[in-house]
Order: sequence, then structure tokens, then C-alpha cells
Amino acid sequence: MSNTTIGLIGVAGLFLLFVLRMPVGLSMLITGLLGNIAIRGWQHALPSLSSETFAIASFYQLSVIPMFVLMGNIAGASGMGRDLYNAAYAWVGHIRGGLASATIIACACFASLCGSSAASAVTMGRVALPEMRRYKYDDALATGTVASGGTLGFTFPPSAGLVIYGILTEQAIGRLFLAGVLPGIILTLLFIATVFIVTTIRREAGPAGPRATMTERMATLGRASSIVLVVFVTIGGIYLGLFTPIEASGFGASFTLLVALLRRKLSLPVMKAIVLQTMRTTATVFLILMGAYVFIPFMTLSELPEIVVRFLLSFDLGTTGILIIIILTYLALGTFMEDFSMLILTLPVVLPVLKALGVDLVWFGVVAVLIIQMGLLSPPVGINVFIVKGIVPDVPMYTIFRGIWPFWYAMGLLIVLLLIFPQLALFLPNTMFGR
Amino acid sequence: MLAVVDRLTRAVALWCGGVLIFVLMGIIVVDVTGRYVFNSPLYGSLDLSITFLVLIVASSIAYGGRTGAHVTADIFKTLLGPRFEWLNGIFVKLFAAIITAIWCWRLIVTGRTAARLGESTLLLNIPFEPIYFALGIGIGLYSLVLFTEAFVLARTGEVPLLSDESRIVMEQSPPSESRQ
Repeated sequence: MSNTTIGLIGVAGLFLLFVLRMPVGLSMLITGLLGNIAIRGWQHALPSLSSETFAIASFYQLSVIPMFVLMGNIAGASGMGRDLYNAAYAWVGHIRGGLASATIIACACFASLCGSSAASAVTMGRVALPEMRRYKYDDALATGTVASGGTLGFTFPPSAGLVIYGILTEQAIGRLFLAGVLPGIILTLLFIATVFIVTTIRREAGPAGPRATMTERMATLGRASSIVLVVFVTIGGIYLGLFTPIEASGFGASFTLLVALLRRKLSLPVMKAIVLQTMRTTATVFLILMGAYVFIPFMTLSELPEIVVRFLLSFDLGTTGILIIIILTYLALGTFMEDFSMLILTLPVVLPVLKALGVDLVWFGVVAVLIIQMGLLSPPVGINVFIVKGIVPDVPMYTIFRGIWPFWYAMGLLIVLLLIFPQLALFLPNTMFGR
Repeated sequence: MLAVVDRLTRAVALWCGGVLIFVLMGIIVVDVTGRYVFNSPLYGSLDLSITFLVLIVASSIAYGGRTGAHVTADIFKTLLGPRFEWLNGIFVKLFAAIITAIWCWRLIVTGRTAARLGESTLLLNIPFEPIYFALGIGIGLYSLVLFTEAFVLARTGEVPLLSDESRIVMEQSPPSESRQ
């Protein structure tokens, strides 16, 4: 049996394990292990099981995952998300759709603390949804805003998706972080424009809230300033070359902890919750990564990625044509797969194609995390949709999906902009680090 | 039986993982502060970070398994009947338990090989053997979780996840003063 046939059987087996609901990380590990045994024999496959998984568990750059997750959890549990929302609410809550715009702004700021789409949606959803419902916001707009705003967590640095992408594609994480900044800001503005358009078409969808006095505005801004300072120190530190991403993660986590302690927000039960939540997320990411590190060598041995590259290039579609095929494939996969697993699973095949086409891998990293987020907002799975549903169980799924579509198109518009103007992603990293 | 496994995985994640994660944070802070303030970064910080990262991962995997953190691709979830769900659940957990047991064994074997070859970290010469063992124990604990879940599922027809108390407490965390 040829290696390619074994590879094809492996891919079929992988999807069978997915259907049987084996955890994604273990599915990749099992397929990779059995495939390696079939191609290279027991003597080589079994030692690589331990060496490959140990290599990823001891990968220094991955220290940023538990550190940034810890930072986000401390920020969330100590009420920093609420402070951000209150500040944004005080400044823009009085205009039509202002509460929804405030949610988007707060999501963007909170995203710079946590790097996770789900964490942003949970934190801001718990704060913003009750307020929007109190002011009779349309359920579709309110839930759509929170679910979509959460995706900013995966776009802005310290995006966990960009960290994993950087490690798997051997791109500098600092470059990727900076590449996510401008698209993140543009996406925030596009989301706010979306809220404006929706509330212009249907005025009743987002009635104006009460106008805050200047004293109230300054007071809320003061309470949120500590968070802005944390973001400035961590992300600004990377941009100015003061910190590596790992140093920024550790420093950011300790700084957030210090702020939370000074604000007397951390009781023992809350600290335990923070630790357990951090351990859960660490487990999620690392099991998938360890599985991927067993699966990827099997894919390489099977020569399937090379065949896919040759197949795609044979159509003579040009770089843009192939990129569109990749984007559509990601969108389709995103409807039923979780963000990390989808990114890790597809890269062994997509990466050789991108290299063959001469695509800038930093640019594609930003595009990839955006597409994955679009997939995560799409039916039938849509992780962020389920998170929002968990906060407001009485709102039907249909209503939430209906509210998401305008934001989904805004994300699509950003991808088109990135295809036309790659500099939107590349300007900051090229300015800071050179080409 | 499941309660014992739950207590064990939670304790490992909370106390081992909790201490280790704050120590890792401390190492990074001391390293950065030492470099900028005293012009003397922490010697061997890279070695320490790598070691603690492996230990954190080892402490987290089993707890992640018991709280449902390990994601699945729910493709045909709604199409499967309850009887198939039950049988499939037992099969998947047993299969995963066997694979993770093999994985644990291989990590122990590779750890012994590392000891025989005298492998260690570059600066502090921390031997790799105990680090491999720690990861092996973490994966072994996950294997124990899966075996126990398969047994409980086969006997009682259902296996409740360990309550994700982190989420509960996070939701109850005191909010800061609301503007309203």
C-alpha cells in the first residue's frame, strides 16, 4: 500500500473519530500514531509519540498561552470587563444604538487582555446583555452584537489563535500580534458602522440610553484606566521592543493581578476559579497541539499535502483564486469545528500551498483567524452563539443568528479589504521589525 | 469511584497547576525586572520556564478531561439515538483510555532513555527524566479518568462531568460599581 493511500485512509479515519465524538486532540494523536506505525513501523512511531508530544509541551514560546489566559481570567473575574463597558456606555450610550456600540468598544478593549473569542463573549455578554434588554434593544441586535464582538478577542493581540498559528508556521509571534492590530481596529469600526446601519434602518432596534454627565463620564473612564494601562504596558511593550511576547504575557498577568488585588476584587474562591479556568483552557489548547504534533509528521510522510499543492496549482487559478478556495473551505469547516482544532488541522495541507504561492504567512495568519471567527458565528455550531444563548436562554437561536448576519458581512468586507490591501495587516510589523 | 478521581484531578489542577502557574509568572517578572533594573536577567530562566510549562500542562490535562474542556467536533450529534450514544460513549472512552495509557508508558520509557543518555536542560542542567515522568503521570491520570468514565457509563448509563466550578464562581464574582 502506498503512503498516499495510507494518508487517505488516515484522513477518513480522522473524520470517523470526529463523528464518533472522540476529542479532536486525541483523534489527531490516534490517527497520527496509527498512520506512523503503518508507514514507518512500531520502532519509529512509538518513540516519536513521546518525543513529539514532549517537544510541544516544552515549547518555550507556548508559555504565552497559560499566561495570557491567566491575565484574561483575572481581568474578567475582577470586574474589569464591566468597568470597560461602563466607560464606553457613559460616552456613547446616549446615541441611537449606543449600548451596542459600547459593547463593541468594550469587547475590543477586553480582547486586548484575554486573546480569546469565547472569554470576550462570556465576559461582555454577562455585562452588556442585561443592560441592552433593559433599554428594550431588539434581541437580535443585542445578542448579535455580543456574539460578534467576542470575535475581536481572536483578532487583537494577544490572540491565542495567532500564537498557535505562529508556532505551527514558524512565524514570529510579535510580528503576528502587530499584524492583528490594524485589522482589529478596522473590524471594531466596521462593527460600530454595522450597528449604526441596523439602527438607522430600524430605529426601534436600538433606542438611545440616558445621557451621562461629564462627571460620570470621567469617573467611569478613571475606573477603566487601569485596564488601558495594562494593555498599553503589554502590547505597547511588544511594539516598542521592550518585551518579547512571552515577557509581555508574564508581566501583563502579574500587572493585572496587582491591579485586581489593589481593587480588592480577589477572594480565595475567585482565585481558585481563576486557576481552574486557566487550567481548563490550557488543557484544551495543549491536547490539540500535542495531537497535531503527532498528526502533522504523518501527513508529511503520506505526501498528501504535496499532492494537494500540485492539484490546486494545476488549475492555474492564480494566487487569488486559490486563496478564495482556501477561504471558502475554512468557512465551510468553521460551521462544525472549533477554532483551534480547525486551524491546527488544516495548516499541514494549507501551509505548503501558501508557500508554493509565495503568500506572506503573517498576512495569511490574520486572514485565517478572521475566517475562522466567521465560521464560528455560522450555523449550525457557532460557539459564540451558544455562549450568548447560555446567557439569555429565552432568546431563540434563530434570533441570535439573525442578529449576527450583518456583523458577519462586516467581517467578510474586512477580508476583502485585506485581500485588496495586504498592507492593512503588514504595515505595523514591517514598520517595527522590517520586512 | 468517580468522586475519588474527581477530587484527585481537581486537586492536581488547582494546587499543583495553581502554584506552578504563579511561579512561572514570577520567573518571567523576575527575569524582566532583573534585566531592566539590575542589568542582570535571571540565570536559567528559559530552563525554568520550559520545566514549569511541562508541569502545568501535565497538571491540566486530566482536569480538562473531567470538565469537558477537550473539544469534540459535534457533526452528527443529533442523528444518533440514545442506545448508539451509550455504546459509542463506552467505545470512545475505552479506546481513548488505551491510547493514553500507551502514551503514558512511552513517556516513562523515553524519560528513562533521557536519563541513560544524560539529557538535561542547557543552563541549569535540570534532568529531563523527571519532566518526562511528570508529563507521563499527567497523561496517565487522564487515562484513569477515561477508564473510570467508561466503567461508570457502562454501569449506570450516564457519566456526569465534573462541575466546572470555575465558570460558576466567575459568574458570581462581585461586579464593580455599576453606573446605573
